[in-house]
Amino acid sequence: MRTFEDKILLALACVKELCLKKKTSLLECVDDVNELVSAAARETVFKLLGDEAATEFFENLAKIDDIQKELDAHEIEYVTYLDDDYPEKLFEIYDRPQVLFLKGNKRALKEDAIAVVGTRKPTRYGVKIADAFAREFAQAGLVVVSGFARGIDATAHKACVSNGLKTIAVFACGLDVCYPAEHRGLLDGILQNDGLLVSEYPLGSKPLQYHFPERNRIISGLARAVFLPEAAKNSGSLITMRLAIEQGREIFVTPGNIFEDEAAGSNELLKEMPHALTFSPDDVLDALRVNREVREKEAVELSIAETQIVDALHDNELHFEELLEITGLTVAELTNTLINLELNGIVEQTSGNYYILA
Amino acid sequence: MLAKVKSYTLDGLVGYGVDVEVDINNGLPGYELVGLASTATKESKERVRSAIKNSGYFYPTKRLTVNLAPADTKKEGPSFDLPIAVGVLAASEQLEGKRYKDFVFVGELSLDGKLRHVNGIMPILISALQNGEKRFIISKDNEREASYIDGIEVYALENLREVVDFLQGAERQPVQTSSYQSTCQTHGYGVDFADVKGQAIAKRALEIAVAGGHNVLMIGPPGAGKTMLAKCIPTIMPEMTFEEAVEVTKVHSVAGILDGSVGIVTTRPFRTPHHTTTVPALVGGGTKAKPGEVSLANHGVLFLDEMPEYSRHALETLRQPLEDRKVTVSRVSQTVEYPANFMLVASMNPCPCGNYGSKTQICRCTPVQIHNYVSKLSGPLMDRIDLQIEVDNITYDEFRTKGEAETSAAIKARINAVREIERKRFEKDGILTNAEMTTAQINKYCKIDKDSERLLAKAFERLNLSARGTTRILKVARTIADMEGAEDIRPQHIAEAIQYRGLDRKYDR
Repeated sequence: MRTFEDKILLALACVKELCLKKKTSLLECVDDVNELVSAAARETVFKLLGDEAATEFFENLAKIDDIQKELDAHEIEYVTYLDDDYPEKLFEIYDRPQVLFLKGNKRALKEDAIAVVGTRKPTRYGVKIADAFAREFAQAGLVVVSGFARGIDATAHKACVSNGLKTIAVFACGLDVCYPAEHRGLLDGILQNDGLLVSEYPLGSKPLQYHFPERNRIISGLARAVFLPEAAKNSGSLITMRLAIEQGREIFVTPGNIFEDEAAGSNELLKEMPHALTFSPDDVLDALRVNREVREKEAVELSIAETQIVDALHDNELHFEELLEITGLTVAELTNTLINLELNGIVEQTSGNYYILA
Repeated sequence: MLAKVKSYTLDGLVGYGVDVEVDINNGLPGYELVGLASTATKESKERVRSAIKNSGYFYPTKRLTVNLAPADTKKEGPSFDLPIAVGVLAASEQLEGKRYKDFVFVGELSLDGKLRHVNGIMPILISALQNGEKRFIISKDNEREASYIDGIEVYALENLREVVDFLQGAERQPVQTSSYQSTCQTHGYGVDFADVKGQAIAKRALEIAVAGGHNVLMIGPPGAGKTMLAKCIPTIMPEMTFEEAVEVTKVHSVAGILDGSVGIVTTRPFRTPHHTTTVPALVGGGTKAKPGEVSLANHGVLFLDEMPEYSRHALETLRQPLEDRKVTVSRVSQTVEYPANFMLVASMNPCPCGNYGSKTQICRCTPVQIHNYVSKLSGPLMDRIDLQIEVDNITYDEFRTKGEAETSAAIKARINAVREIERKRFEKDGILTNAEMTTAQINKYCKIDKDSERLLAKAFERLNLSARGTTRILKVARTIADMEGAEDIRPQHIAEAIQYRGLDRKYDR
């Protein structure tokens, strides 16, 4: 059963588009949350929140049961900073949210987490890094936290979901809104794999522009460390990195192509903070002292043709026609060999009939 | 006096007899045409009068009544000019004898009395022959088209004067039957697979597609050679049999796009409607319920270049013809059924700007744009496309010069052999190709062993394939097995079939 304090905080959290500062200053005025509803505090509430927000707050309080019902209908829970369930890590940060809305497996908040953030328009190289690192992190037992955006965020979530591992997505909108809409399938995947959706915004909140930097502090706040595969110069993920540094989180960055705009931001960050330089998931996991079993890669016996292909792919990616030339196989034989290699996780087809080693 | 002249006209591809009755009465000079004639048919009045006058006959200055019986079907086109003129001449007793009653007349007249070409002669003659008519008088322009039909006596004449002379006893030779085989040999395609260098995987996929009658989608950036590859497809398709050629010719003749100097379609049609095409132009329709591109592509290839640029509505209308292999066009005046047994070949760019997933170019499309672009191709439509291949425009100068590419003729020979295997297998099922298999037939003919099943399961898991792709993979695997002459589908066939599911993999659908 929820306490009255919880209900007051929920009512406050459900005031649409009320900035965190006002909420915090309001709560600082009182010793006990219960005081907010006393007649004496009424004037303070109106003064600090403004007429509109204050009215909405009291209205919300009046219909708090309806709000609770609506949350229940969406299978959404909430935690307040007064709860035991409130993630400890968030107490470490300066502007923690008073209330978090949660959907899914809320035990995920108790576990060690690492954030993976980055550009919305990654290069193929960036995607590859995000995918490989996120998968390794998740398999080593860390929960991957990200922002559910396109690009690197989605890749990181997908890497977990496709391996049946849990991941936390922090939304910049209400949890009943799926933004971007094409991630509907990913959203279901996260929930099916024991993942968790987190947001500080009440139901029905739109993904407004200023929500994103606000949301970023929660991403870095929930995590022990933040990993950045690739970011452009004005990328929002650089905000996350800055916040992470302010919050005292470890940061890890992989170097990108120096000619690539989409990696200019992360490269610049590396120049400023060279210690963040990372080359492999193991670098990160070692730095975080994550214990993990050493997994031997299964030895696979390769046929002559397969060996030829793998050898040829060592240097760079090759086109189907080039492989055809190198191996001297027929098209049918080569497609066959490649599919087998691909199913065994040895090679990968990038787009346009190019192949690389996985 | 009353004269009754036989003629024939078409309802879709089926012809029916029309009696042209001409009666001359006393009264003020006039001309009345009854029997639901369309505008072009009504205008015959002026053409007939001038043609008769300019051929040296006399146009009666009396009251003429012309009836086109049966009077309740809509009559289209100018093909009644000739029977009306013959009727007028007979009714005004300028034409001696009753010989005209033995013939069916079909032809348009020009003002100087010359007989002009009429659309749809082949289906008219075939229907009339089935209804027991054997003797015809048509325009010289339609001679070649009529010459491929056996068992009829057709006189192809130059002008009205010749018709009258002939009906009054002049000697004329009926049209000589021409051989389809000899016509075939003189017509090539102008392109050949040997001209396409590189693109080994696309060529292989197209060979599989033609061998099994599968529909294909090619995905690739602009300039990758998708259109060139598509144009080569007819060159490896099995030769059309005479029956197929006649079916194609019938539709082309009705649509008025038949080459009169050849008279029959000898090469498989390759239709490329532009992406601004309207629905009636694509599937057939208009006030006259004319055949659309899907019917003109019958027994050939319908090529949709830049498929997502077509209107969604137009693409969705393809679903029924792809399934039933015929199309029923219903209009207020009539309901017509046209054949639509075509192989769909489509091409598309990976995104609106064309560079999505490219190694060298930057894609400037937003995710929403790409999503909207790809989602133009609905699931049900994609379910009917068995092979999706990626075509890319890498320049391999060294590879391009190396080796001789196979000619279309060599590929065609292999395909003929595979088609023969399919024909034998489906002898009792009433279908010709693997692509046409129903679910029941897939269960019967595409049994796979444990190894293949494991492979398929692994592929679904690892490669993000959509489950609805299974039947398509099985069909294609069947064709690949047939190409190897294998009785059973083995894992390597499944593996190759999986390779041709490019779209599923590229876009995480």
